[in-house]
Amino acid sequence: MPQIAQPPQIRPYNRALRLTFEYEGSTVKLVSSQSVEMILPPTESLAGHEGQTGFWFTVSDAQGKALYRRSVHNPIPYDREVFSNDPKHPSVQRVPVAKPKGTFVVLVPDIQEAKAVQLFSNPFNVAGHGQPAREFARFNLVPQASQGEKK
Amino acid sequence: MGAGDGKVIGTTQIVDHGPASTKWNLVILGDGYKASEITEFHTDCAGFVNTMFATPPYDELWCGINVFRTDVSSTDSGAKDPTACGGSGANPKTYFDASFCNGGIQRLLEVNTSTVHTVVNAQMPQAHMIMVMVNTTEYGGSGGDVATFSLAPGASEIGLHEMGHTAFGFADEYEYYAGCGSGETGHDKYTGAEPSQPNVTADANRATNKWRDLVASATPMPTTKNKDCSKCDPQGNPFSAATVGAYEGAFYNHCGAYRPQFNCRMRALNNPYCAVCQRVIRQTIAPYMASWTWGTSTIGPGQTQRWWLSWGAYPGLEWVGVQPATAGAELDWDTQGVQQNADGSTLYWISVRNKSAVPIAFHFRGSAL
Repeated sequence: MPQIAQPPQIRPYNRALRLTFEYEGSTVKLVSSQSVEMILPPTESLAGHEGQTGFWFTVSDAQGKALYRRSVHNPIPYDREVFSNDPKHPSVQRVPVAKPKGTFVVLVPDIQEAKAVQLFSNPFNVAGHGQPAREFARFNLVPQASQGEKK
Repeated sequence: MGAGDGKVIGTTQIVDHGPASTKWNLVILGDGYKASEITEFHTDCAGFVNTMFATPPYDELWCGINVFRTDVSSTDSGAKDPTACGGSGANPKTYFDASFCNGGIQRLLEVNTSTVHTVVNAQMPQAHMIMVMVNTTEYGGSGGDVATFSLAPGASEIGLHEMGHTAFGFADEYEYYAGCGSGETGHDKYTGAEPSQPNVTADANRATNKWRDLVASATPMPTTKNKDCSKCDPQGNPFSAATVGAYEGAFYNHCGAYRPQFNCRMRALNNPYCAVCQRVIRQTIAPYMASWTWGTSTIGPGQTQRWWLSWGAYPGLEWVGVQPATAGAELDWDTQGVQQNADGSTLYWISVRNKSAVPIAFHFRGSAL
């Protein structure tokens, strides 16, 4: 018998900001912010992740209080997955990337109280794998695209 | 090269369970399809959708999922295939610049994600997950913010693995970086911080492990130990495939990091998602399984389908109905009871039987109080 999905304990947000970022190395720019009617998953726990490794983003209010947090797979890859259908090779393996460059999107709640989005990650290199994540960029949530301050 | 080498034709909803504003939305784009090949893209999309629908737990959650197909034509067919990696030297002009041989690796098939996001932001900004199918039968793909894969047999597994990363935040569960036989160094033992991802851990303690509620009391913790951390653990699974525990070897390390089951799609392709990953997928999609649900399905001749609708913690069922999509077709269907779970959720079981000699498409719909 299939397992039932756990019912949401918190009503999901029904309006999102679609934030598009461009990155080159560890430098990240917020290039667009688009308000969209869509449901977002509820926030993950706002505490208890301190000292962990990985990548997540947090939305905070004017006082810096966290309102929403989601963990995501690191969208700024310092290595890439390579796949194979050759039985002589593993089906998945990783190779380093010299200079990561690209675009990614983050979906955050479009709510009045949200004033900033903060990006957290372990260091962007293979040696940084497993090190605790730290805030590396913060952007004000304003209608116009803005430049983040690299920390 | 790039967006000048083709045209965005438009977006079509190919799995319709409701408005995009209320559902979890997957968007599939194609690259390397000439205008004359767009119908082939439609067929390729339908093939992936069928694969996804047959993949637990997406099958159970289907009512919460929409799929959109964005048609984009390219000047030329296929993907760039540089001779530097042993490729054919093909150099087609395509809208998203699909190319093998990224980073000097033949199978690393990538597209221009900036162009992809520009198109999706304009065509379907309610996307939760984006995939690009590349019109080539050579095996390849890549992950990241946009999952990319070719039409080679088995390549759709890349899309399912990458969806695990991008949509649900899963870590890789494999216990190596370059490969078990690669002679790699620096991946013997994980000594880092606890991973934030839900499906790997440095903590095999029964009392504190993050998926401990899924571990049976008879299952040892850790469940397996690697006796030689200089290489991958060669032992087979000493327990049944479904046993959840803490198997040593994960997160690119031979020792010191643990995965929940012996195998998972996040460890090696062509495996089911493990129980921990499936639970996270269910939890993530749950908000989209709203009080109203509807959709379509097809049942083969002589077959019976038994499935359930769920309204999470909503208090009760109001109405459910099944109706053939084709006039004159006949289906037998009945409800088989309501199951109330201890967590307040409700399952409503439904059985549909096709007594005819031809497949029948049907609509279903239900609502909660």
